[in-house]
This record gives sequence, C-alpha cells and structure tokens, in this order.
Amino acid sequence: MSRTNSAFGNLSLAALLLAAGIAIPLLTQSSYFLTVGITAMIFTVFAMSLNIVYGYAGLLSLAHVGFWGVGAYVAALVVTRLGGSIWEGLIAAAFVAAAGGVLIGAAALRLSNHAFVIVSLCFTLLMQMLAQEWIDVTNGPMGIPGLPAPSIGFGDAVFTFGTPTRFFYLTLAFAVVSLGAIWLVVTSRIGRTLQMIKHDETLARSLGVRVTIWKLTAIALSAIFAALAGGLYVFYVTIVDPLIFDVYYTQVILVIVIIGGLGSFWPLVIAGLIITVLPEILRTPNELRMISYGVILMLAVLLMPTGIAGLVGKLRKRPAAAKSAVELSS
Amino acid sequence: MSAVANPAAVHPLLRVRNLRRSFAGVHAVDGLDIEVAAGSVTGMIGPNGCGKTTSVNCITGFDRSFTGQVDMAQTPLAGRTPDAIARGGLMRTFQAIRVFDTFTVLENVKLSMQSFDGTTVWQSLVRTSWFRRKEEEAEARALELLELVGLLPKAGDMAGELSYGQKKLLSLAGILMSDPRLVILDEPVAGVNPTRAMEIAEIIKSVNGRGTSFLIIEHNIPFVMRLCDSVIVMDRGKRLVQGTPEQIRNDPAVLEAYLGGAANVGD
Repeated sequence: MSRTNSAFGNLSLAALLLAAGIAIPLLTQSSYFLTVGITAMIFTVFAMSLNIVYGYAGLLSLAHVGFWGVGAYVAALVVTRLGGSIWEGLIAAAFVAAAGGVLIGAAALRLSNHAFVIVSLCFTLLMQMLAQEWIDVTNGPMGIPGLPAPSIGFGDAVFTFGTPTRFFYLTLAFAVVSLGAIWLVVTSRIGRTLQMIKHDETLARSLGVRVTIWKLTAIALSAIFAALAGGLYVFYVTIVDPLIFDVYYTQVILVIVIIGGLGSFWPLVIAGLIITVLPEILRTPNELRMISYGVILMLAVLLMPTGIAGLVGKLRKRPAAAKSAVELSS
Repeated sequence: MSAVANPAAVHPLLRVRNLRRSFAGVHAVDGLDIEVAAGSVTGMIGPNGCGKTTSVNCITGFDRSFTGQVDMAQTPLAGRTPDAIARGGLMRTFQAIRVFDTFTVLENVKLSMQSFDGTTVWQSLVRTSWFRRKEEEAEARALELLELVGLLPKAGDMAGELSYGQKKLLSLAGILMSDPRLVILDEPVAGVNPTRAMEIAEIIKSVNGRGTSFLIIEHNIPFVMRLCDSVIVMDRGKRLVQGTPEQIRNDPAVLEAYLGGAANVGD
C-alpha cells in the first residue's frame, strides 16, 4: 500500500469510528449501552498503553494495572483531599505514574527483561497493599466514594459531565486525543526504535540506539496513558477502592493486546471495542456468559495466533501473491 | 612473540593495549595489543577459541568486564556503552548474523541511520519538513547501498525471507549507512559461497577506498591474505604477530604455532 493510500485508510477508519462514537448517544439514551461504550473506550486506551510497552518495546509489564490504579487514586485524592479539579488530578496522576514507571524500569532493566516482569508485578502488589493499608490517606478497603462528576467552568457558567451521555462524549474526546497521540508516537521513529529493540536489542545497540533510555521512555509513556484511563474510569464509577488493582483488569488488557495483535494499532482498537462489549452481548443466557467468553477467546487464539493484525496481514498478502502468480504464468 | 614490523601509523585509528578478559579463571583474552591504521583493511586470524570475538566484544562495548586500554582516534572507549561507541563511528557486525527479520530490506538499512542524522524526537513526531528531507536522504542513501551490495531488487522483500549470504550483505549495507570511521566485521564470509565471498571482498575494497577502515575477523585465510593490508594473528588470547600478509606468510612463529609449520599461510 502506498503512503497516500495508507494515510487515506487511517483517516477513513478514524473518521468512521469517530462518526460511530458521535452517533451512539444520538441513537440511544440507555445508560446501560452508554456505560458499555464508555468502558469500551477507556479499556481500549488502557490496552493501547500496554501495547506501547509490550507490543512495541517487547517488555511484558504487569505494572499496568498498578499505573491505572495509582492514576485512579492520585486523581481522586487531588480532587477530594486537595480540592483540585479532575483535570489537575489527571495531570498529577500522569506525572506520578510516569515517575513510578521510570523508577521500576531503571531498577529492573539493569538486570533483564525477565526481572522487569517480576518487578512490575511487585509494583502492582505493593500499590494494592498501600491502597489497603494506608488508611489515613486512601480510606483503606472502604475506598474513596462519592467522586464528583467532572466539570468545566466558563466564567460563572459550569458545564458538568454528570449524565451518561455527557460522560460518553467526554470519554470519546479522551479516547480520540489519547489514541491520536499514541498513533503519532508509534508511527514515528519512536515506534520504529521500540520495534528495533523488541526484535533484537543487541543489534539495536550496535546501531547506536540508546536502548535503556528508550525502554524507560516507553514505560513512562504507557504509564501516563494507563493512569489517565484509570483516573477517568473512577470518576465515572464515582468510587475508587483497592479492587481497582484487581488482576481482572490485567487479564482484560492482555487479552485485548493479544487478540488485536502485539504491536498493531487499528486491529488493537477493534479488539478493544469487541472484547469489552463481548461479555455484555453474552449475558443471555447469563449462566453461560463466562464459558462462552472463554470458548470465544480460545478459538480466537487458535485461529488467529498473531491476532487480528496477523489475520489482516495474511489476507492482504493473498491477493498480492495471486497477482504475482498470474504475472509469472503470463 | 615475533618482532615483525607494525605497519600501523604513529597514531593508529584503533589502539588496544594489554586487553584482558577472563571467564571463571579462563583467560579468554590475555594481554592483547593490536593496532588498526586509519584507512587500512586489517585482518584478524587465529584458531577457534583464541579470543577474537571476545576481543571484539570488549572493543565495541558489548563486554565491559575487561581491563586494559582501548582507544579510537586517541579517545578512550573503555566504560562506554555499545551504542555510544557506535555513534562515535565504530560499527560492527556479528558472527551469528543479525537483521530485523520483520522489516523490509530497505527499512533495515534505513533503520541503521536513525541514531545518526540529528533528527529530534519532536521533529519525528510532527514530521517537520526537515525530518521529511532527512527521511528522503536516508532512503536515497539506503537505495545506493543496496545497489552497492546487489540487494536493490530485494528492497521491498522482508529481511527474514533473504538467504544467509544475502543477510550478510544486508547487515553490511546497514552498518555502512552512517559512514562509520571503523567497521569491525566478525566472520563476514563464514558460511557463504566463494562467489558471494568475492562480492563481499569487492564491496569492502570499494568502501575502504572512500576512507572507511576495516578490522576483519575471519577464518578464511586466503580471503584475509588477499584483502588485508595488515594481519593480526592471535593465539591463546594474545597477539602472536601483526604484519603485512607477506610478513605473516613467512613468519616462522606463525607457521609453527598456527599451522604447525606444515604449510605456507594463505596458500
């Protein structure tokens, strides 16, 4: 595909998804459907943040649910304890998570990528323990309930994102900006450098790549988007408690990244939307929901071992191969 | 050790003094002294396990647990990271061939330039006109190099689909992208057919003619003897001798220690 075609394809797909996003609240006012949509967009950004570090840089991070939870707590504390706005809370969440990411990366990457997996898991467990035990600050297992709806002030006028429809549009804007920023990063030299490191770290070093600095950059960037997603999420559910660090969230984003295809962009966005909506579709009958979900995931992994991205790549190659065969035979 | 005259200039491009590296008490490199003159093609030969690749790993920063002095253009390299050494103009290939299999041949060569063209992260992110010009220049240079190594018709193929010999050529094209001052090739013709070996020799000569110096680690002695201005013979972690191919051929120490005195080196 030429560069022009590729840019046109990207823009078309982005426009299509954006139009669908804008249309959903116009088609339904059901808070259930809007909640599913909000969750799907937040989890897609969250999964994409893992994709930066795992799919592009090749570092399996189990700290992501930690960054997401830290982001959620920091944003909530800035609003409830310091009297800041949610926007200030999200900025603080991004900084704290990035700092945490660089800290654990700098400590673990001196050893190996395997050490990073262990340290990243420990980070999440430590953060969960902190949320449970540091009762003076986090309110312990009770969590911090009653988080206010985000709002923007224009002079005396205040616009509050207090309804599911309004929050849906806020989340849509967040997803567009976040995914747009991540797209810029992963399609730039940064993305290519991270892929070089993932494919062959030694070769990358021999070609002058500052491997450790780029790995830390990837961890910090991904931590920022995970924290922003976590911060926004808890202001929708209006409570943050230690369950925000639950392994369930790690499982969801790992499934999205693997089904979408490691190091892919659009297939991962599609997988994010499907994987978060799928359990809701499978609610009927509810008793079989998790069994059907499991079977579908197993089939997806068996039939698409390299994810949706791999499947699309194969389908694209077929017409090209057929064309070459025709040219050779003529 | 033989007293063969050293052809390196007064200030050689690469100077290694008393390099030592041990693994659990085994002295892989045991006080190595070598010099590579600017503009030369220097060969390094020696039996398996004599410490050639270990020395290269120490020189290029991949192994920093050594003692001794390594200078390039009178600048110490000891303690520097491999990427810093590469950005300083010393590039290398590996004995076990390494390319980015899932990138195309053209992309592989272009990737080699990313750390060298002075483009900032911001310029790359927003695709400034400067960045686009640099990308175009890199592509033109990459296509030139692919033509030089005979891989231009494969430019759009995935690197993983190339044959072993073609991958060797690709890796050579990649490290030449940044116009390095010194290139260390670790067994560039091992496992390739004689025709391909001749092609590689011609490429090295051509690039050397434009000012790039080479240090070539190789077991193919006729290849080294035909191509190199200076040859280092290593044995048991030390330099046995360094001299011109003619001096090496006639050096009794080399004949005795390296070939048991039974034949002429390079025949």
